[in-house]
Amino acid sequence: MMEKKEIMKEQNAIRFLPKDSVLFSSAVIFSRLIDFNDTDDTASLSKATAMNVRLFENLSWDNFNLTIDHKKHQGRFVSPSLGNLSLMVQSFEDEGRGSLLPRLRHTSNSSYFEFALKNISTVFKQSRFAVEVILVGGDKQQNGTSFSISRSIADQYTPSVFYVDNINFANSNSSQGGYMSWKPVAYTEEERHLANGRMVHQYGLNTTSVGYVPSYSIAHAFYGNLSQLNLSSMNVSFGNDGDGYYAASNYLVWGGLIGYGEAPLDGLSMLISLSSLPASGFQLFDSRWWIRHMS
Amino acid sequence: MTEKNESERSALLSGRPVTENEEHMTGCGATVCCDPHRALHRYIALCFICLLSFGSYFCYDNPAALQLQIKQTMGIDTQQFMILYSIYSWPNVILCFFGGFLIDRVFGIRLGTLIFSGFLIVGQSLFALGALFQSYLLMVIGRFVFGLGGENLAVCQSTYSVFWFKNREINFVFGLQLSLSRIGSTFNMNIMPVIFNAFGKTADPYFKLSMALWFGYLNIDTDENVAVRGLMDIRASRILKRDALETGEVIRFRDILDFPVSLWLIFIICVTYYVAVFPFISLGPAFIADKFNTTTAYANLIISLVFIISAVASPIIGVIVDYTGRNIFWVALGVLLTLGAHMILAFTFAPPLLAMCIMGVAYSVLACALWPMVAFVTPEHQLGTAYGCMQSIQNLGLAVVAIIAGGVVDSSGYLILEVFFCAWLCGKNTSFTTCRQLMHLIPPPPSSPSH
Repeated sequence: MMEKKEIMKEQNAIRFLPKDSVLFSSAVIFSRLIDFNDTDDTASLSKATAMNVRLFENLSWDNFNLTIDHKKHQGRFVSPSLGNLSLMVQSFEDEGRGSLLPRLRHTSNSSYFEFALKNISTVFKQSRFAVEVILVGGDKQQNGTSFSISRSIADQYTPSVFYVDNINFANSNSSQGGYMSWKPVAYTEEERHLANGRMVHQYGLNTTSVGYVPSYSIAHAFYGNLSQLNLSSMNVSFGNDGDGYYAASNYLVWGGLIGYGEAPLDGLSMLISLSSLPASGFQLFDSRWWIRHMS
Repeated sequence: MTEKNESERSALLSGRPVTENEEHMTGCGATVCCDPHRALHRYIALCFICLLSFGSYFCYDNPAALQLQIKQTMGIDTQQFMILYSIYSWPNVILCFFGGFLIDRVFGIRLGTLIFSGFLIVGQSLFALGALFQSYLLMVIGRFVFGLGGENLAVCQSTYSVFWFKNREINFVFGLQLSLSRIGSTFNMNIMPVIFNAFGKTADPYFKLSMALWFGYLNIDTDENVAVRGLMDIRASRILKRDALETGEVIRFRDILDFPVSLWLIFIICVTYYVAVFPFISLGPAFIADKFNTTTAYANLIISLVFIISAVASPIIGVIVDYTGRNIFWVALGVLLTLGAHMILAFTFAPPLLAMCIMGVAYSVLACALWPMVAFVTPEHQLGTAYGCMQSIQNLGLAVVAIIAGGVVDSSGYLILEVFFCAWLCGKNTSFTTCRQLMHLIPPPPSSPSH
């Protein structure tokens, strides 16, 4: 406890040297877990009839060092306070794609996070969960933080998901900013497939103030005075109407990327060996054939 | 000279030239509606043919209309519920083939229709009794028996239609049948829950379910229908000397090997086209809802447009195909339009309404033009076998591809699924290319009924 407090108090306790080697920085803080009562089964946080909000910093956390896997560059923050709540983080040395759904494409400039809620005790009968993230962008003069949804016809890596939710951190000093991006899908079983995919709803960006940022966040230690920066928050909730609420599965996992530069998107590259199509598809446009058989 | 002779010998009542070897008809038997030479008489037969289409599809989709009620009342899960459908379709992969053969070889079409209608009636009765006696097993058996009749009856329907309408309005008739079966399905979907609820909340649910299913029974109501039609057919055959072929030829099981190549090509078109449509219909609502961000109800509506449009458009398109002939051209057009619809859905975010309207029209065009084509390339004594074969192959294709399509979505998503469907339509040796081969085999327009 003491330790945490000291880091928090000591501004710039975390820093990179030389100072001007840092071209861009942004932070994503997982701040609160919201357990809400969805009495009308709309799966919408904004229609919740009651809420129970917990700060992550008030939960107890297991020793992170025990979960580090150096080969995979990953580790897991686990809290046993409410059941089994965990946040896995992973970085990469090259380009690639996750082996598990949602199988997001990553680069060496991105890190993957995976937020999992396993056997979490709920407060309400019709409980669903939402999580709040606080986003620290560049300084206030800049364009700041924006949210957008992009869509793609290509769902071959994440079946049935055609959208990507994207938070963009602008950077006026260089062309490159940063991002946090995810596909709006969470899975309700450890063995993930299309059938146990559930919607991830987002509720837009809200501007927020320093007072709202958890006081033990290392963002304080890195940035010092956060009030000079763009601070926003966003709620993200999980579940579909009619899916039996969180209790039906007692499990939820949601993954996304945080990184520098542009979010890597699934293109149509190598899509589909349309091999069978062009050969015969060509005949479709053979006008002589059509003319011959129409006359 | 001949003209004068003929006009002198014309029967005044019917106002139609009479030829030498015709049976003479008198009294009401020779009126416009009872004279088999006349269009009106054919249309009366058509009414009966269509009624049966309506009824059998009405009952076929009874479980879907009452899905919730059946699951709750009988206490079964979705998988058990789906058995009510698979027990209908899997046996038909083989049975249709034998059914068609039996119609040609053993029963003849009239007895065949009677027997298969019998299966339909017994099946639906067992299904309803199963609900009343609270026996899921009996319901499954009922569906099995119903299946024995259902698909084979469709073969009878096709064969009947050809006998009555070949070289006349055949495409229109197939279109109308398609339309009536779709209307049957839709009517069922809307009316069955109403009937179930009509008995009030206090009534025993088993009783309510059973009553609703008995209502389905009323809709098949085939006894008189089949009898009347059989009589009409016997009379027409006698008067029009249509039976000559049926008695003369000896049919063997290996006739199937003698099917003309063009018939096999029609089978290929049939299976490759329908596997690109029906599995899509069942997987479609989820796809539309996910890709276009719509509610499930709207997605269902959009998908059902295919059938709603075909119910309205089929008879009209049938008339057009009749008028123009050139069935293969229409089939190719149907395939191409369907391909276009799939590509719009796969590669763009254009409103799905557009693509589904195109697909609805394309589906009608294809169905109206494809099924009658069988009659153009098959000798009449093999028609039943040919239609049976076609239905069997179609069932087999659908059963297999439905499973594969589900797997494709799970592992690779809807885009690849759509590409998979496109490949069925325009890949090597699939629908479109087969159309072209068929065109080479039958160079002139296959039918020119109205000119």
